[in-house]
Amino acid sequence: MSSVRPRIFRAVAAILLFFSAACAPLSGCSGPAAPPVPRAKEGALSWNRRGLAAEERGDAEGAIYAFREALKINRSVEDAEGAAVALLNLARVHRLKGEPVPARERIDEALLLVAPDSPLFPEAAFEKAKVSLAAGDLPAAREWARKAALAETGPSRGRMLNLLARVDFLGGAEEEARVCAAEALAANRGAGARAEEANSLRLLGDVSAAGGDRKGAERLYLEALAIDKEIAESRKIAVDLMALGAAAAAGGETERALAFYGRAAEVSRNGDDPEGADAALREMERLKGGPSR
Amino acid sequence: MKDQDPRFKHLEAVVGAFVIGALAAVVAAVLYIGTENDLFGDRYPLRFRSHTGTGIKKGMPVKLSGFRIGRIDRIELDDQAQVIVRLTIDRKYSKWIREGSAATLQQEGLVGDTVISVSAGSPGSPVLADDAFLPFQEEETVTDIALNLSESVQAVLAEVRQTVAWINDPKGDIKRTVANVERLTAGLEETRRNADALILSAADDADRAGSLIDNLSAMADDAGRRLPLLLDNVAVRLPAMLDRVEGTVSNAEKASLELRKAAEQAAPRVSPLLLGAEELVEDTGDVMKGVKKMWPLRKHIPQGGRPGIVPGDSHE
Repeated sequence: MSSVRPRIFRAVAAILLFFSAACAPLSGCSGPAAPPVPRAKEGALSWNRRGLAAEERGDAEGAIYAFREALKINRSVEDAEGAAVALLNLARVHRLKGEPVPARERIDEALLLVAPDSPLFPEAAFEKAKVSLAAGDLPAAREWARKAALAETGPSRGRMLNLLARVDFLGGAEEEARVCAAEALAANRGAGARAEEANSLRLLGDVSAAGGDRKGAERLYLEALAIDKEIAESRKIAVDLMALGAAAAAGGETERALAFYGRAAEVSRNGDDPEGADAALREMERLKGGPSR
Repeated sequence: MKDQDPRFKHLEAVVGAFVIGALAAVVAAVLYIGTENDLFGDRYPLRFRSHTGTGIKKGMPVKLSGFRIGRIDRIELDDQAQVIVRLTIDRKYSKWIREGSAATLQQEGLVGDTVISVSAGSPGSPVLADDAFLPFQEEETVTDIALNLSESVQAVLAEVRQTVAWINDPKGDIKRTVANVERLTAGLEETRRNADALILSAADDADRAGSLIDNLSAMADDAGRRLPLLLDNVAVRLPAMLDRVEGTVSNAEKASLELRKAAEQAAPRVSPLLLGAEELVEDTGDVMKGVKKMWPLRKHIPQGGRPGIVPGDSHE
């Protein structure tokens, strides 16, 4: 047992050396190599990559640890941009983890390091808007979402507009929300951002449902559902089904509504989202006239 | 040639001397052997009768006061299946073998030979006649002594076992006495308490005190009955429990010792192993860095640049 690990290392090293030798004749075929990255920056980038990987697999604690290490290294060499990215990532992970206070502290620190003309500013402003929205501060959320949408000119503009439209909708400005969401939909379709395209459709459906256009809302929800199923986003599928259930219930189609809620509960239960499943079951109980859970 | 060769000049004399010498040697040997085997002296035959021939052999020495005076000449059975042992003794020693003499089978020391010992008779008694029977006394050998000792020890052990069983007998005198003493002690304690209570409160209520005394007496009897059972139970279970605990501790000690030995044996190998693994990891890391910089791999591997951001979503 004790000699297995060195053997594995030797085997891996041998394979890599063989691969290096095989590729040696090809080296230099595509122009000069990138300039070497300083050791400290390389370390910070490495920790940042580890944080992203941890967040992707749902390991929030691991992500926070890795981003803190990246922040520490960036601060040790006064790399403001690297530190801002680490702070932005920390704020986002804390917010997704349900920790609004550290999320707000980290994003405020990041905004101190990011100038308005920095390419990082739209993302920082977007995160600030999300943190404000999570805190229930709609004016601040709208302000920062607007700044983000104005600053972003790239493929993420549709996402920024989506957020602004959503804040407007939550603030009761349904017409502004519909216009903004339509612009976001066009931007997302142009950028090929399928997940945000579905968000735009769902938001437009919400605006239609709020305006009494139940059929139009249902059509938009179904479009969003199709995209979310295409990209296999479990939580978004459940949200679309919940919205379809609400639209059916609003039209007096109780059986259809129960069917949508039932599907939403099933999706959430199997998608490790017990809160979503519970919400769907509560709606079903409410429709049946039973006790609310 | 024969008459003239000087080497054959005294041949007859030499041959005659050689033959005479050889004959003399043979005669000397015969005399020695005969003397050793009492073939030439005047022999004094005696006999004794024994129940068994075990340990008695033909040629076995016969001794008097530790001196060899003869040997066993013959062993045979008579009509009653008794063993008749015939001794041949040098006649010159016959003066000490009188009435009152006896033969015994003795072992010379713990591991010595077995001999027939003849004791001297009374000085005033007549010398025994030829072929007279000596009284025979079989002396105990070491084996006999050991057997006798074993039998004695077994007898003692049996007595000890009986005594212990008698002591442990629940219906025996000892156990009953102990139980009575315990009951009496408990009763005395309860009686003392009752007396104290009576002095304080029972002066004006004799009937109540009597009832109390009866109850307490019953309780004392009950306690007296239960206590010995409890003590017996503890006495039976405690040794077994202690044995198990001792066994467990012993096993734990053995396991600890084995573990320590294993650790001591493995410890010297750990450090080099870790160093080797670390070196290999570093080597692998260097190789990986080299591979990352090679075309076309470098296009698919992050090479510095701007750090990534956790993907955001407008509707999380």
